[in-house]
Amino acid sequence: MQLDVVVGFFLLGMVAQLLKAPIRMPKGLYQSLTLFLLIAIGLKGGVALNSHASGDLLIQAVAVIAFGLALPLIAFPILYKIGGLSRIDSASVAAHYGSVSVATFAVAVAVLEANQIDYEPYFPLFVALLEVPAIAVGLWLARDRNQTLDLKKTAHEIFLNQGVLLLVGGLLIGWWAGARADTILPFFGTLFHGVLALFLLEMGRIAASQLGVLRSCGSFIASFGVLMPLLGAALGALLAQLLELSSGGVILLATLGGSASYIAVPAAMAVALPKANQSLSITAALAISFPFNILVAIPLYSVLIGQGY
Amino acid sequence: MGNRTLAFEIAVSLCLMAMGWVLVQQGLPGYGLVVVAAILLGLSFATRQWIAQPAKVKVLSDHRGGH
Repeated sequence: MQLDVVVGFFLLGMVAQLLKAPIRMPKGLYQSLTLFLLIAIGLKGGVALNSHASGDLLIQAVAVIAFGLALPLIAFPILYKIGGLSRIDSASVAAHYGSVSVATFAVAVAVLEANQIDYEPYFPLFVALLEVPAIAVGLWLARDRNQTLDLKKTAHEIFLNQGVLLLVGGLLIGWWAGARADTILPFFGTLFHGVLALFLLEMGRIAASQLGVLRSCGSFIASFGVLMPLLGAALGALLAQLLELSSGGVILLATLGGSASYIAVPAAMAVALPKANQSLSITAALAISFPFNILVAIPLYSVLIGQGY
Repeated sequence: MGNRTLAFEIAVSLCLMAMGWVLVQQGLPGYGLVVVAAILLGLSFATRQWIAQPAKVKVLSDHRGGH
């Protein structure tokens, strides 16, 4: 099992932070890299969607949405009954784990491309579809009759946050343009791995800086942050087999099932559930599940599925 | 952090260790899971130590204050 070269930059960022070395990426650059990755993934998926739209895809899309609805329902009882977290905190963390991480998806795509494993090129559609349902389930799980929900503001954060907007926007532009997008695809395609490496350098630094929070969150959240990706990935792989996806598709749906959002969902939860402990969700998703997924889980899924397990 | 969470944490660590061990036995890269299991187990006991420490200090100072 070999780690992908981009993952090396994640490790560099983590080590630098743990050694208190002064690597500081300008905030504007980090935001630019995020913008680039979201548009690149959406655009490539949209172009593929242009030539792959079919009835089967509709069935797959409905199944993926159902998957996104089910994941928080699995996470919630573990957090609430076993972890003893409050109802709001449990619902908030569960929503993070029902949604997906675009960065984890980007690493999985980089691993597949490096190992020349084929996958369904319209997969970014599933990433976009998995972003939202878990937030709705999370809000339903946290429902409190005494608390009024600002529906307009919450819907704005759910559907118009930067992640969803750019991903869906890129998808739509790619789908609409089709072959005409060839003029801009070299820019988003050739630079993808380099930009991802820079992005992961900063992510490594941020993830390591969150590790200290574990002291206040407790070790339960660390165990949950490892268990939930494995449960989600197992269900994702099972669903991908049922949908008869390619081996690359199985790895990608397993990765999506095991990933946790740390961009789109925190923004929505901050508005909809202001009483929820945000550091709990961010620590679990960013400091535990994200490193676990890219350092251990994705390479493992690639080997297991590559060998026909 | 009660007995239920401790049992959960130990169960997760043991499951990971068992899965990793089975994979390694089959010549597959399961050592990552074994390492993660060991870290989680260590973290489980270390965080309980950390949480217990301030309580000890408080008891000591209260005791001194009593005299």
